[in-house]
Amino acid sequence: MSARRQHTTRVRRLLATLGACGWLALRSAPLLAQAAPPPITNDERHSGVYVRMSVGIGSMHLNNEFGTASALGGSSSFALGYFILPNLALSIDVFGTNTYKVSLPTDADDAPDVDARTLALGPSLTYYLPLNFYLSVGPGIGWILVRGESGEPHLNDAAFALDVIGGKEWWIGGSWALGAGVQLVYSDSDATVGGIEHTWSLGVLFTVTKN
Amino acid sequence: MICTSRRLGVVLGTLAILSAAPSVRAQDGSGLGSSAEKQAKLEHFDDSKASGRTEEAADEDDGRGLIMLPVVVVDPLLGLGLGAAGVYSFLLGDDPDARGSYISASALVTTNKQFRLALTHDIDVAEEHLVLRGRLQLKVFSEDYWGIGNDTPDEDQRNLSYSSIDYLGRINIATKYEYWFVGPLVRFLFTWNSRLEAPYPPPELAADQLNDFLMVGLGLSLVYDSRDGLTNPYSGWYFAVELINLPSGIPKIPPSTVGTIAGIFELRNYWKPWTHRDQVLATRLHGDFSYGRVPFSMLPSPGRDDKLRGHLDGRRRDYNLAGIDIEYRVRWWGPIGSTFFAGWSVLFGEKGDRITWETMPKSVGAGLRYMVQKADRLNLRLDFGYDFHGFTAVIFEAGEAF
Repeated sequence: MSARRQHTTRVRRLLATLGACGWLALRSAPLLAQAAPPPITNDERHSGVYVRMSVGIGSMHLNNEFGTASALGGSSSFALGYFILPNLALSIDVFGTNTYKVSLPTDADDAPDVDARTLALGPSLTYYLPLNFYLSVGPGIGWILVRGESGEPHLNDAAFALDVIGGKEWWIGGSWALGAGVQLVYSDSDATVGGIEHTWSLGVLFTVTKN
Repeated sequence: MICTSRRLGVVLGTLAILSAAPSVRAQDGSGLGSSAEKQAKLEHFDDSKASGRTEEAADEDDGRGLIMLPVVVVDPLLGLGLGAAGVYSFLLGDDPDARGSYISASALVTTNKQFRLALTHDIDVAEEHLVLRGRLQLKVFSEDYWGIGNDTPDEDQRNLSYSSIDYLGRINIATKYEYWFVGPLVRFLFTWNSRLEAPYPPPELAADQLNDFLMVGLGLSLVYDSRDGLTNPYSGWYFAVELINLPSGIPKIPPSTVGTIAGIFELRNYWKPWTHRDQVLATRLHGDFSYGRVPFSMLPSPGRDDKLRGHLDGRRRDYNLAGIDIEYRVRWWGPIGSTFFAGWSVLFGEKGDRITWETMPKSVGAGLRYMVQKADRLNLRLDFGYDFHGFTAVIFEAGEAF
């Protein structure tokens, strides 16, 4: 095959390839346009009133002088506030955790089963990162309620509590978003309540947020 | 063999309400589904012909307003009940094509000294793309109780009486993704005056659950609903997961002896293997899970919510119930049809439970159908279910079990 003929063949192949690519591009343009994420609407912005409701499940830990006991626990929180800066919301956060039938460590032979609940409230700051990841920190004051097998409830005085959430949200329409994340809740007690000095809970949570 | 014809009167009342008020639909976990309802109307039947109304007539009277009805309940276990029900349906906003909203109420008194007052609301705020749904129930009630477990003996039967007020509210938000809905839910439950027949307590009954208790919970639900109708789907999928945390023990508001973390899972499919005779194979996978100090009224039980028809609701209660219901539906001629159904599940969670073939709740049964409202394919159903333990349930109600 001569050099001229080889060159002609290459040009034809190149043109055919370009033509195929162009045809594919034209054909797939609508598909690509459909596959692209929907444009951000005015609703999908972090501004104005901020409402976040969450429910979670995880591991709750009760600490006393003999050690730590842990069990499956639940958590809930509700935050109501306002975006004071773009992507930064200041809110009042009410949060709580609970667990049941936990055997507390003890030096006695049979460990008592207790139920423990915490409830706290305080200011919270939530900051939204790119891709709708967010971090929320809410220090506050809270109570620990412990009920032992005797049925007698023990409630401490208000003490320090902390709610930390990290997660991601997805816009679901309007200004609503659905999210999932990890939550850490800590509740302290200024004095031993029902044998417990402090509690902490780590788990996953699911949120519905209106921005 | 024990037979029961539960909810007979409620059926009659419900049926009349549904027939008289087109805006009122049978409700289930979906909450939404206006497109599905519209499709249901279009398929097989013409809405205006079915209801016997012309469009002009519909314009003049959309059926909305206040309707009052008497309620009669006949149940060998609960006795005779008499009451009344009312529903007020209305439309929010100016859009005549928007889904209607309604508030309903019913009151029932039985010869077994039971009283139940129920209020429900389903308010469609179309402009906000959300539906506010809720149910408030006040009960001064008594029922039989066998304790907790999947194999509680018959001799543990005790009469349990209590009073309670229970509110469950949901906000269902229509997402931008077709058929997907999401929303928070709240529940408030206060129970008092609980009394258990002597000798007290029977096995597996936590004594503290007989104290007064208050539960306040916050939860979240996620729903996918592509069914072509709500009352009697012919095709589509329904999927729902729900998680709710119901602690008690709010400081300074005693008493608080119970607390629950509850989750619900449900997956349904409706499939027409053949087009003639409206044959439908309906399948439901379900799971009810609870953890903590669960009050007796919230323990999952076969027979409740039409799961495993054939069981007596409350005869067996445990912390978790997961299983499958399968039903084959055929419409033989005109409004006449029949069904065959079977269910199998696992009931577990209590210490000492043994999972064996005997302790697995299961049921089989058959039913008759009479279609009374073509627009929504609403059937009046008469089901006979057998639980393999000598109990036969007879259920007469409006709408399909799932």
